[in-house]
Amino acid sequence: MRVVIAEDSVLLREGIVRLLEEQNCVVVAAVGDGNALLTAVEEHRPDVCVVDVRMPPTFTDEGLRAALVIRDQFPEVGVLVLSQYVEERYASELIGGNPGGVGYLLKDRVADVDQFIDGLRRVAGGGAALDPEVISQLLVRSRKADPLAVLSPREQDVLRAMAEGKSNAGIAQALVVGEGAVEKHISNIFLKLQLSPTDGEHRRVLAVLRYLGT
Amino acid sequence: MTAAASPVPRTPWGLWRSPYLWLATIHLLGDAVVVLTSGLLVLGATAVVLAGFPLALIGIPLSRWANRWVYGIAGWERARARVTRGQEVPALVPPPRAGSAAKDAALAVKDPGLWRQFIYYVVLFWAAIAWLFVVPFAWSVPLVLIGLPAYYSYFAAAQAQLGPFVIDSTTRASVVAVLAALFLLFVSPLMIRAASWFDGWLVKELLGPSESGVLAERVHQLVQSRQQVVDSVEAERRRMERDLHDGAQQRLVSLAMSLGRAKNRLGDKEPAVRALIEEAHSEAMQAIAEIRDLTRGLHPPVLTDRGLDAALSAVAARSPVPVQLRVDVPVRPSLTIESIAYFVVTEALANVAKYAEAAQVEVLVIREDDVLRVEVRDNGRGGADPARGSGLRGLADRVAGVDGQLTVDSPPGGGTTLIAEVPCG
Repeated sequence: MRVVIAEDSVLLREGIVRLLEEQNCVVVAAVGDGNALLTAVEEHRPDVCVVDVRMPPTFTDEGLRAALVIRDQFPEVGVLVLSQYVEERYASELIGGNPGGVGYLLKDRVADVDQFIDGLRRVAGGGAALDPEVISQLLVRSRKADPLAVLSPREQDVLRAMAEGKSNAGIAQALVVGEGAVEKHISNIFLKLQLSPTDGEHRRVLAVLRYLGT
Repeated sequence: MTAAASPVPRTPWGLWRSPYLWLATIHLLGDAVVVLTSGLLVLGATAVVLAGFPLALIGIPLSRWANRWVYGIAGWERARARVTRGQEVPALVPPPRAGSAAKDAALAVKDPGLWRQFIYYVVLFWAAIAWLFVVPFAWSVPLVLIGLPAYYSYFAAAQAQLGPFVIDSTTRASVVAVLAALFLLFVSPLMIRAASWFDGWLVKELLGPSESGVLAERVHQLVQSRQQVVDSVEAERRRMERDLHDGAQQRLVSLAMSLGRAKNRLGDKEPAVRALIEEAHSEAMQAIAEIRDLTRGLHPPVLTDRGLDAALSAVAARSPVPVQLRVDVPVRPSLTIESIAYFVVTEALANVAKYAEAAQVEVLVIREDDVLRVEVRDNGRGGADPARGSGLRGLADRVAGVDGQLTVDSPPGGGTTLIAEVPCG
């Protein structure tokens, strides 16, 4: 897996580089601001880039804006945004209409090596990795329209885990149920959200989108 | 308000020894000249202000210009008072620019400063006429009378009439001369002093700022300095947030990351060491979460980046009590005002979660022209009292810091409505 890292704190940047190298990833570039990130992505076309939200020169949402540009111009490059805070607004902008190849995690998750690498691999593979905190914020947003009122609490749990980007096995593990039970819940969700089988695997994404209310 | 350079001597003797007497005399005689020059200019300028006002295109800028002209002339008069009497009178401040020419002209016509200066020159006109009698009476008349005995010694048959008295002998002339000399020594300085005092009083009262003007200016200064204090406190919050974010938080994340890597490398070897590392790791994660909550309370970055709607929707999401949020702020107010509105909502929601036992909260943030209105309503048990709760008092203080108002309506059992209105012009 080829990775570009954009993080202005040298301490953290070096830490992430070493962490990734230990996990047999190739860090092709490690940069400190948004413009350098865009240049590096254009040059190296990595599988995924890890982007800090706040970077020089403005120290506001520099990284997020660079991430949006990458999403737009290099759709094949996965973007995993790391932030000190996860805010629903940033997440909505980042996901746009398409939760594929994107991740938005609290920086803390970097410390949880397995969780971080797992998320990074999902994003690199065109999947999603959203922080549980973002999910709960997005959930509140969509609660108003509430297209999900038809789902049982357990089905909502399953959908939430799906939105985080987990596989069926991952969901089963997280909810401490069998994989068969998860599959049953998921087919119920598709049914209740009126997603026909002709949509194929894409139904998962559609369900998540419905869930996120974006 | 008036600070004389040196105190005016009180006794005739003191007056004689001070240059004040002569400077005051010159000043009083100068009044007549001033009335004929500056006075006429002011009269003309005032007429231009009035006449120009209705004349739209030409008149409106003219009114404003003439108004400034009057202030300029009054400046000379204050300078004259400073030179001759050492009288320091603070300058009047012309009306501020209102933005449009028409508003400027309207201000020029209604400007109390213009009218006070106008009245000054009208009063000074009569005063100057009076001084034309008072000054010669104080100085020339006694001097002439002192010369009477000499007059008689040259012209034996001479006679003079002073009112009802006929002076027809050297003896009488000498008596008059002595009286005149005493008058000159003791009364004349006091007359000049009194006239000069009145003249100075006119300058102070009409060409200096009025008492209410001084107060208004002081209030203006206080409002500004308070605004600076509030702004600097808010800037400080943002700085602390950033320092924590760029410093301690990054280091902790880096530390936690190293611990996480160590844990992974260790795998299943050394379970005792692994337990220790796990403990340290979770402590570090805890610390990061705590700092994050702390800085979010100070000033969340999303508030600076995306404004109230974005920041408050995150707050609403974290609230344990379901929140209905509506933010209608088409034009973003200053960072300070946003920060205070954010604080009001977070504090109110924290209170709701802690005490209200509510099932639903409604948060409304609307900007109506220059007022930002924040409403937080819950359907809880009510009974909140700003007099007792330190949280509510802190809220009220922070809202009051920007001239805002906080009202709390919380009948027992009837839910709580908290409304903050903050000017955000």
